[in-house]
Amino acid sequence: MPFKFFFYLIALFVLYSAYFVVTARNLFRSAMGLLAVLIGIAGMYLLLNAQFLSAVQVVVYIGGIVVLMVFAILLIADVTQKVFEQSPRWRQGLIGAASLLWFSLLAGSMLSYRFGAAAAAVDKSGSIREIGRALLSPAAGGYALPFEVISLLLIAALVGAVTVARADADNGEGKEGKA
Amino acid sequence: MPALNHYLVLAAILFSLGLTAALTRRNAIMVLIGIELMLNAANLNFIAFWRFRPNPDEMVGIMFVLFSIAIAAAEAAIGLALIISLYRHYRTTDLDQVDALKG
Amino acid sequence: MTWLNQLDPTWQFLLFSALKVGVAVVALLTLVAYTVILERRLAACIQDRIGPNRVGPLGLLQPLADGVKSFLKEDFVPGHVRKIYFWLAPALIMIPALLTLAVIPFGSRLGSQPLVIADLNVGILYTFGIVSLGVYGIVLAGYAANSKYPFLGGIRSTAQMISYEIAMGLAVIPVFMLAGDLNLSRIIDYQSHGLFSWLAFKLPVSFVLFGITAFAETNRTPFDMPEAENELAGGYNVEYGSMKFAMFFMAEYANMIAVSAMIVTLFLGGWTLPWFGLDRPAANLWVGLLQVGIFLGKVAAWVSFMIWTRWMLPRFRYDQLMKLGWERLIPVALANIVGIAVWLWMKS
Repeated sequence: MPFKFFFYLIALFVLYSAYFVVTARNLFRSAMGLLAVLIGIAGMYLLLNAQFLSAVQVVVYIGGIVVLMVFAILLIADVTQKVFEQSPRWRQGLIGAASLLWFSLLAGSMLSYRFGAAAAAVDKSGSIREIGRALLSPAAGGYALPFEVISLLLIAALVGAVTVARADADNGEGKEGKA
Repeated sequence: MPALNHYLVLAAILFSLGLTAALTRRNAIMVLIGIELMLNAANLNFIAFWRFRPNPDEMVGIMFVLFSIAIAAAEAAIGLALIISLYRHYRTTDLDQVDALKG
Repeated sequence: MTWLNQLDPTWQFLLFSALKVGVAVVALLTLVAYTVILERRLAACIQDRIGPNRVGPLGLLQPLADGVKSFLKEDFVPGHVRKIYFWLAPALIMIPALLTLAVIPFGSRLGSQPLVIADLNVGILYTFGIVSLGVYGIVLAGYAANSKYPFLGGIRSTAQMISYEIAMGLAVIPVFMLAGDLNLSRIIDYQSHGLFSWLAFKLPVSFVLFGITAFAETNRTPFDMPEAENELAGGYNVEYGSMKFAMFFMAEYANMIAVSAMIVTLFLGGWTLPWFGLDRPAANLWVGLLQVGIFLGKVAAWVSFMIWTRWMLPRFRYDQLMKLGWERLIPVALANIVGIAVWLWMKS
């Protein structure tokens, strides 16, 4: 019973924040809405018994990605602009309809497929130790290769971000090259 | 205990809202925010399926989301760096105005 | 006390948790008040002045007078600010400090109750998440003020906090590698085998790095760029007055206490002392209280150190700060991780 209550509470919070993100008329507000959505999703992970991911979500998404976005928003002068340009009405309507159609397709197909065999929730949660072991084990069922690949990707992203951001340092404002 | 379907529907709504955000807005950062919403919807699905897994020792769901979060971080860093250099060049982040191949 | 033992476990848990939360919050706020006066008296000592000594014996009632003054001042909202964020920022800024305290064990146990509010398995990861929330209060304040200096303060603090958070996270990784656990109570257990099992002695590099980044994360001198009085006229909180300003002021000290508590837990043995068997969970009530006292004493010592540093060192320049963070601290932290890993591998 309390689980159900918390689920609906968080779900409402997430959906309202997401709606806020879509309709906000100012970049900074949208970013704050995104922040609220991410906090809600972290709560969902807790409900789903994935404590480790919940913490990772807070550290990486809320403490990293959204802060970076807010930083970029503050650097770009458009913040002061109260309302930013919207797409024309007809395009908004069209996109809204398309999203609705997409949602009905998605929900319809997922609800009609019977995930019946797995209807019961498993209470066992992967401990951090197990996750770490699996992440670094080179044996079958381990994730050592993807782990290495992702570390390469992150290095590439880091170097790429720095190069892109300070590409025209000769404009006299190349100091923001951080990611 | 909410059933698997509840989570799936929530994720689907979230994904659609993210899609709307990414498509209706013309600001580059807004598009990035929409993409983050969609990524989170997908992650939520992964974790929901993981929670209702048939084999209790399976950890693919968690691993998938871990990697997805790492990729999202890389994507945000690169994306924002691009947007900032775009802004320096064109003095705007409106994607419809950034259509000239020649600087 | 028998009725307490007759309650069923859920109710007992709820009751004791509520009690612990209440006591911890009240204790934190009291400590904040007295850290402020400690800072003023220490500063006075260093600068060869007397400091506030008029209100009450030895000036000990000064915080009360300050509080009353903040309450009685007019709560003025400038016309050009963004209202919602202007109200939200002072409320948000206290939260991280309060949330951090939830996972820090502030004593072994009283009776059968462990003295930690939430003994999380992902303890340290949780505290890092909370620490990274700290930046939002300042950014919101800077954005809400809608004028130049606060805005600059907000941008500076964002850059500073994300940069130093990375170094801080990397500095702590060797702690996990040695202790093999993220749970803060386990980390204290690990440090309870004599003075030299304290991680400050085992991992001096991590300890120094964490200490430096702690200054940056709490925006204290030498890293107080976001509020640098003589460049930004106070930075992100310029537009605030009366009780709202008091919230920012208290939050700074609350954050100092929270970060000191983290350092004490991670590196200085938490509530243990290696002598007289004080490194084992308390056998009776008095030893339990004494261990809480030890914890508070260590926190107070670190807080005094932070205050002393503030009045001893000049402020960094902004580019020096960034250079120190990205080009010195992060490489050293990475080398430290590799070094510890190699050492552990050779040992096994």
